[in-house]
This record gives sequence, structure tokens and C-alpha cells, in this order.
Amino acid sequence: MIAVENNYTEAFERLNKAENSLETQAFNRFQKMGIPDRKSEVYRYSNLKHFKNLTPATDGSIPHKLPKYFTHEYLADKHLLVTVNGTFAENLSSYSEDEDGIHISCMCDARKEFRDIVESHYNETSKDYPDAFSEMNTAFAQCGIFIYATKNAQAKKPIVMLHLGYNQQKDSLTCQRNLIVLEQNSEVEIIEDYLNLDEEEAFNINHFSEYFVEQDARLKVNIYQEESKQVHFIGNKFFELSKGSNIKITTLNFKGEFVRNNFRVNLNGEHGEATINGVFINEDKDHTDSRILIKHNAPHCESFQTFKGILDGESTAVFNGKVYVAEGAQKTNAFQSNKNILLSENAVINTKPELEIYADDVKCSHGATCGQLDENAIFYAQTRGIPREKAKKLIVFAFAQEVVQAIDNEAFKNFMERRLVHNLGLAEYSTFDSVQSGIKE
Amino acid sequence: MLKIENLKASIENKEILKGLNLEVKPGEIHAIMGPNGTGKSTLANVITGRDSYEIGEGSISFMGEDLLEMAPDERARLGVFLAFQYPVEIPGVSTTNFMKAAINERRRHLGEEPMKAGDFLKMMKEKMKLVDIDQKFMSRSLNEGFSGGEKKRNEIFQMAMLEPKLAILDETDSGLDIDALKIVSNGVNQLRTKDNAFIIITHYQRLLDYIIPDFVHVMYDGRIVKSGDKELAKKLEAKGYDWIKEELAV
Repeated sequence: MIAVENNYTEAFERLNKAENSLETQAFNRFQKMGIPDRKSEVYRYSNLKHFKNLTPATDGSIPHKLPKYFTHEYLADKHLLVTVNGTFAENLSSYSEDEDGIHISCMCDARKEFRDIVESHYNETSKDYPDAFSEMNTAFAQCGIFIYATKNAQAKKPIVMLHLGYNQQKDSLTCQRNLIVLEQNSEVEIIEDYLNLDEEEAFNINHFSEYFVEQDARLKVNIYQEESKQVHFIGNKFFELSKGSNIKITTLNFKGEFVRNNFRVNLNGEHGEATINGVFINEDKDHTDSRILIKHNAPHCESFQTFKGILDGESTAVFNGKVYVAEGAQKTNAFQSNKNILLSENAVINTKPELEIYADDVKCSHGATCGQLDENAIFYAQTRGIPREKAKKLIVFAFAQEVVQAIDNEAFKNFMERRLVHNLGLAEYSTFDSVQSGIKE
Repeated sequence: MLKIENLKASIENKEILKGLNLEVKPGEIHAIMGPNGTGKSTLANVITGRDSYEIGEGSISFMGEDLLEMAPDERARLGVFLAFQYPVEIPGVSTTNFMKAAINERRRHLGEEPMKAGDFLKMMKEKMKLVDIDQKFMSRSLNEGFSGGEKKRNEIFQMAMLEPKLAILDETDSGLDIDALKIVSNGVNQLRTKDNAFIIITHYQRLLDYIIPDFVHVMYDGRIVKSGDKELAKKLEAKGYDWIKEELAV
């Protein structure tokens, strides 16, 4: 482990937290754990030394002036929740506080107005899961986003969380914390969009969201993360699913010097279902580390993971997907696939699909592949007049499409396709349609 | 249009084409027949520019240009087309998008604007009729899950879209039932003009009942060893290839 230095200790002292507070307890655990080094199995391929010398932000202030930015116009009708450097920015957001049984606010207000809900859920996901970064986050959490769907509530509009980074102090670290609670039979769709407004500046963030999906509730989370070059991002997303509930997560990652996404799903009741799909596209010296842990704690649950990686330049990526089937979690159905394309000889993928099974009547499959582009397919496209480089991009686009096509929000799916087309330099085919669109009469 | 002279090509140090000569003029249909392993598909691959072949000697000129100096896509844009023996599946790319990319790429190289969506769709519909291909295939992933016959029809459809000057059909008839064979042949016949040409590689005479060739060539051991008209194909069907081998041995 890497010892926690004075920069963290002094920052925590500035917060003046009570001795027996949740924050102090979390900080003590963090201090004991230290920042994981590469001996730690879950961080084996990702070097965390960078975090050693950072100082967590403690003032929670928002820069007064932001440069012009655009919100991606994928949705006309939405609740827009903006955070800047980890703190909820009321003035930049546009949403209804209380509509269709969905309550939205910043975490600080939620602690007053929905005290019971917050107290019974906040930090509950990390109890059986010791992780230095979630502990650090709890200790230094800024005022993030709170979403609470009451029983049977149906959000008519998607909730867009736009996470902006701007003008962070040098060597500072943002700890953003969100809490999302879906009560019985409610339904919510969330879109998360990460945008660093300083293209050239470093940005460090420890992002932690907890999601509670209670009986028969349905949650969709679509994540779009196109990072600037110098970002160091640690993201923890922990999900607790009750009986008959359902989550579908799609995550698309482009670029970033260091992007670690850690998804953990607990299937705690019968007939729960979790789908996590992702695409990561790296170039230059980008590093992406995706870790998924799905725990089948109850029988008759299903989980599906499809991750695709595309790596160019000297980029590196890690995929570690694990399915854990607890004793008694019979009739589990778990599927996991990770496929990767290496576009350059210097790109590296470390992929590790894992199964850990303690029940005897289950159906689990997993697999990982990595390879180069299919020369046959490139030649085929070339014989139709498509230049080699473009043919490659076309095939890469198609490779990523499997994940994008599975997104069931049409507007967001189309937006994702456009970003893919843009990032792959296929923009000149501006009329590029999706596979499904076809000919209209 | 196409002139191949003394072409020698090898793969992994094994010589496959051993001095092949062939001349194709506009408006002509050439059939190339011959036993397995005599270099028919290699010829198709070398003309269209698949790498992994080493060209030892000889030349291929097409419309006065040196084909061997060009990348496969340059050759395609100049008007060479290959209907694959085993069409490649590309998951995630629809036939529509694939064709759109191909056509707009050629237009781009000619300094033209991309084709208007309306014009493109009109053209698609026209060509789909030609090979009796269902619209639903257009929006599905290219060749993925298509039957053998559907794949071959898709090849002819693509050929119709791209309007090549020289189309090479590499065993397009293999694996086709008689109805599909008729559809494919009908497509080729309708596309035939006095300005374009076809090279049809086949094992069987039956395709040549539907597409009448001007010339039939027999390939053996990396060379064209006998040329004739459509009667030669019938003789091959009736008597096999042994008599040619015997003739050569003499």
C-alpha cells in the first residue's frame, strides 16, 4: 500500500468532523488501508501513485465564471443536473424538484428534507466492500446529487447529470458523491455525461454513486465519458438490487490518461436482473480500467455483461469482470463477454473474466478475446472502393455498434453513434445510419 | 480493357500462377474453368490486389494503367469488381451503409459531392429488384446470417450498385440452387453492356447455360492452356479435364 500522507490528513482536519461521525470513521479506515499499490489484485494493472500527492478539495466552491460549454443536444425534454468540480450547481441546472413522484435535490438539502431516506441508505453499499477510494470519498464527500423515486413513481423525462470539471486547483482532488434511491416499482432513467472544460489542464476526481433499486423497480443508466487528455478519474458505482428489480447500464468511454470505472452490483432478491454493457476506445497513452463485480446473492437472478475494447497507439486497458454466485443462489443465469481489438502493436489489454460459484444449479458463461482487425473484411471493403484506413474504421465502428445498438433510448443511441462516427473520423459519411434504420418508404 | 501478360505469382514461396496471359475487351464475357487448385481464385485475388501474393514477373494493365501498382481500393474505384466466392460477414455494418460508403468514396475521389439520400435510395431499390433481394436484407448486418444464396445475390446487388467496368465472379454459382442461379444470371445479363466486361470463374457448365460466354478458357497448373468458345465448356462438362491433361502431356 501507499501510505496516506499529510496532504490528506491536514485536509481532513480542515473539515472539523466530529470524532464519531461517519466521515471520521471512513477517514480512519482509508488511512489504515492506504492507497492501493499494484500488489493489490483489484488494482494490479493500474498505477495509483498519482493520487499520493493530491489534496482533496474541502471548500466545495464553484468557479464563478465558466467558459462557454454546450450540453449535448441528445434530449430536448429532460431534467438537467449540473455539477462543477463535484459540487451540485443549482444555477446551471434546470429541473423540477418534485415531479411525477421523483424528488431531486443536492445532497446537503436531502440530508435535511429526506433525512430518513438518506440515513438509511447513505454509505450502506460500501459496508461489505472495503475500498480505499470509496472510504476516501465518504470522508471528503462534497455536496453532490440526490435522486429519490417514491413508490410507483415513473419519471417521464430522463435525468441528465452533467459533470463538469473546470479550473481545479493544481494537485487538487474532487470527491463527488451521489445517492439514488428507487422505491418499489418506480422507474428512472439517468444519463451521465462527463465533461472537462479545461482541455489542457489536469483534472482529478474520485466519483462515487450509490444506487438502491428496490422491489420491482427499474433503473437505466447511460454513461458517456469522453475525457480530456490529463484526467485522472476513479469512479465507483455500487448498486443494491431487491427482488424483481432491474438495471441496465451502458457505459461509453473515450480517452483519458487514467480512467478507472468500478461497478459493483448486488442481486439481493429473487428474479433481479442486471445488464452492464460497455465500450472503451483508447489512443495514445490513454489508460482505461473497467472492473465489474456482480454478486448473485439470491436465486433466479440474471446478469449480462458485454464489454468491447478498442485500443490504438500505446494505450492500455484493463477489463476485470467477475460473477460471484453465492451459496443457495440456484438457477442463476450469468453471461459475460469481453472482446477487444488492438489496432497497434504497442497497445496492451489485460483482460480477466472470472467466475466464482458456490451453487450447483447455475448457468454461467464467460469469455474474452483480443485480436487484430479481420484482414479479410478489410480487403472485402477495399474491393468496393473503400480505402484501407477507412475500411478499418468502418469495421471498428461496427465492432462497437453491438453495444451502442443495445441502448434503448433512441435519442441517446443516435447521439452515441454520432460520437463514435466523430471519434473514428467517419464524419464525412454524415448520413451514416444505424444498422436498424434501413430504407424508409 | 484488361491485359495480363506472362503473370507469375506465388504465395509463401509456392508459385501458383506460372506465366498467365489473358486479354479482355469491352463487351466480352470470359469464362475461366479448370480443376481445383490450378490458380483460378489466385488470379481473381491478384487482379483485385489481395496482398500475401508475391508477383514474380509479368504485368496487368487495366484501361491503360498498371494495376499492380495500385491498392485494392484504387483498383475498385477504377472499375474492377470482385464477387467473392465466400462473401465476408461484417457484423454491425448494414448493406445500405456499406454501399453508401463505397459509392461516396468513389465520388469523393472524383471530386463530387456525396450522393443525395433520395437518389441513393432510388438507386438501391432499382438494383434490389434486379436480383430480387428483399429490403429487409439492406438494413441487416452485411452478410451476417445470410444463407449462401442470399450472400451471392448480395454480391451481384453490390456489383449492380457499383457499375464496374470489369467484374470478376469467383465461383458465384457454387452452392446455388437453380432458382438462385437464374436470378444471379439474370442480374449479370441485365448489367451487360457493350462497355463492360466479365470474367466468370466456375467449375460447372450449367452457369454458362444462362450467361453465354464469348470465350471459355481452361486453366491448368497456373496457366491458361486452352481457349475456345462456349462449345469448349460443353465438352469439358461431358468429358472432364483428363483429355486436356493428355493433350498437354503429348
